[in-house]
Amino acid sequence: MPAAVRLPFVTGLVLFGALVGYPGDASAKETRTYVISWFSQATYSQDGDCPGGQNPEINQQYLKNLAALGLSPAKIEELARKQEDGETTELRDLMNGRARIDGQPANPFMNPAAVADPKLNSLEGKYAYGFNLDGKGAASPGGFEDPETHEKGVNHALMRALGCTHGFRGTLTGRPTYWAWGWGQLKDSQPAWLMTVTAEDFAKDGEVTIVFDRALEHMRSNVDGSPRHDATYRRDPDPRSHNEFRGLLKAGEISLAAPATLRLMQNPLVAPEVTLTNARFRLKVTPEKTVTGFIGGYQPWSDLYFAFAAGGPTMEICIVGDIPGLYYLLKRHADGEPDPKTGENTAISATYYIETTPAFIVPGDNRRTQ
Amino acid sequence: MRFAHGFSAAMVLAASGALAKDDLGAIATPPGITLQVMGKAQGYDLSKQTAAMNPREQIAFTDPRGMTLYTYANDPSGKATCVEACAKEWLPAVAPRGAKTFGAWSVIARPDGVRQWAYGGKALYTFIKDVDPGSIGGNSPARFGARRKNGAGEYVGGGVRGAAARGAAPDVPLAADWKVAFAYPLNDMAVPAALSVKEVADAAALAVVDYRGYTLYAFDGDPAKDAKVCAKPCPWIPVAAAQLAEPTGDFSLVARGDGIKQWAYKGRGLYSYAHDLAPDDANGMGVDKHWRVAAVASFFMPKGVHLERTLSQGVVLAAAGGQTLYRRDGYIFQSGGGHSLRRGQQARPAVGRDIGTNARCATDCDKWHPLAAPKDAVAQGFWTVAARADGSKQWVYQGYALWTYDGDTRAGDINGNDAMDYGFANQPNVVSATPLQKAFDTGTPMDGLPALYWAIAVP
Repeated sequence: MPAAVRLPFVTGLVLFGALVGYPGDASAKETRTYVISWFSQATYSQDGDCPGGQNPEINQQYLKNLAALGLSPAKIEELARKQEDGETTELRDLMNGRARIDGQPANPFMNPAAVADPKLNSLEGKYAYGFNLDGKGAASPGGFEDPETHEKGVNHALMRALGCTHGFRGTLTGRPTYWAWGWGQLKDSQPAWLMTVTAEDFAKDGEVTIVFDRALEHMRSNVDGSPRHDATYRRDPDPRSHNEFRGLLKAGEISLAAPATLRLMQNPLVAPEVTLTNARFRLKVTPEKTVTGFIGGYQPWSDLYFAFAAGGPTMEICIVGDIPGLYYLLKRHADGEPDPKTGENTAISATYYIETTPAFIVPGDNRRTQ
Repeated sequence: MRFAHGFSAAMVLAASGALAKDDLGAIATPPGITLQVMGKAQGYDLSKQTAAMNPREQIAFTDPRGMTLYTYANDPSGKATCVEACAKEWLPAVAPRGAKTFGAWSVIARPDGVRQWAYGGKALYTFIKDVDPGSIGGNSPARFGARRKNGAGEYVGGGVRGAAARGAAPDVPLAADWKVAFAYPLNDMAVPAALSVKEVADAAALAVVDYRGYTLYAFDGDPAKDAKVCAKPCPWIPVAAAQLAEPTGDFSLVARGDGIKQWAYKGRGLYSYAHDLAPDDANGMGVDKHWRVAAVASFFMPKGVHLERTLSQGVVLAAAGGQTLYRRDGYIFQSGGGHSLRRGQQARPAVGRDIGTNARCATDCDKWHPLAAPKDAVAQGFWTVAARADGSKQWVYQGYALWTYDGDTRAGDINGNDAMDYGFANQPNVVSATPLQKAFDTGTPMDGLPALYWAIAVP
């Protein structure tokens, strides 16, 4: 089978087969190929899901942090005024060194555990997209109800951890600031992610294969920034981003036949890679013949912390809020992949929402023919 | 391992300068003479602009330690006159026993019997106040970075990520009559106005480029008959000269059969390559035996080390077996930097020196292996030799110790690229005990969360 077979070609083959008397039987599988054209945490922020209130915006949080460092109210007020007037950067300088190691100031992003826990609020809402990863069903501690399937015991602890911080709040359509920023950066600066789905007949229930790869090119966009249809991508032979899964197509929805591990290299601008263990998919085949939906699993929380903290004060002030606070939230809500030695959970359950755009995929490894 | 070698052989020839017949692209430095990029290109400055695109505007000849070499205006050709009091500050660049003439390099005898390197007949010296590679006249490039100690243990620099050096002392001017011995730019080379010479990193050479900065290639044959060896559509485009152009230095003019005058270098017709799409591309390298990069000087490579082409990241250094070579580097967060599409970060020798041979690896460490150097390996060009803790030696390129990765199974694989270990402490009060973080405490002070990662070694 050619490597880049898409619907129009297959349709043409079947039509040609019918015309010449070829049976065109059910053994002719159909392959659809896509580029992932949107990727973000699957958020479902609702009014009232943070009864303790949303976490303060960073300038307010900094005032609390100054108090935690032992500064008097009068001194805090003076620093805040000088910062606002542009008189000094003393407040920011104090915040950029608010970790304490042997009593001395230290980088708080490198040493979050050496910063007093600011005890940021966690989400307490009932609903979140996701999967029953731990198998405990409705009894799963901290489990949500999926607003779409209404399955109970859904594990999406990343939603609990980040859901009361402004930059991470949003819905599938009202996109969260952080993830919109991240994807906006990544789509033009990292090799695209590719998806290939093969089925006997997309109109019928049955087995499918699902393949995720990385391209050698970034995602192609139109002049308005929207993803370009039918662009051609070369598949990167780097095995780190090659994932093959057996799946099931049922009532137009694709799921995995068994939990698996998904790994995709990413741009370290956000995080070097996205890894999900015990992964599950719930992907809809749309009338437009794209695929859209949810992928979930346990993700190393250190990858997420790097994503938030690598940019240091710039990220803290502009997008994500108190970074050591996020460290404590991630650590507190981590619920998977316990360290065999310490028992500490190294991963956090997470659900991501993806959209795809039809694309052509060709082999990238043409070194021998160049 | 299944490594293909077909491409490599041509690349070795091009890169090592092992060319027959003449000195086109001869090696720039004899054994024991090294090269250092100067100024901010040393990499102390971590500001966004320079980390992404630090111009390598100057490359100096340096001693085996990386200390800048100088010439003295009062020295006649073939004689060193800086002696006695002068020699207390300006030390002769001592040629080791067995050193001999090497292109423009020669060895001269000082009055005290010491054998001293000379370049173009001019005796070479180091300056006693230079304490770091990349220094000029005692001004360390460490002054471009955040506050840190220079090679003499004195605090210099001071800007946040090196963006501005707050409170740094002004530079001390280089003493009159003394000049840096630059390998690049080639101040003394006569070049026609339409052409220039610059570093073409992918060719590991200083090469002739056209008015656009595009790499030029020299043709081994009669330019008037180039069509006989070039299949149509021929990608080799003759570099036409203006009708009033005059021969200059090693550059001459060749009359083509079609009436066009073509530039030639050392008697070889010059061409651009249609598939070079930007300055610094050298995509024509190794594709046709009749055309090779018009190298003015090539950079030394250790035996077996060569260049390989990758699918997505251009040309990389490779070991004799074909395995891609990697460096261990500190990651810089740069919004919109296009890290994974644009060969990552430019090499920062100062950071490589800080990291040294201790990769501070946390993940898959058994798959990474040092690129071993022979016991008698000698520093040359951009290559130096580091002693490992176990007594063995490791090749170092532009400040970075080099490594191979077991996950690469074919020439051109880069399956270890961008593999990263984070530098955050998951427990309080452990920073000083974390080797990964020590790297950042010394060499790459950051304002965010640091990381060390494996990066392809690009020439």
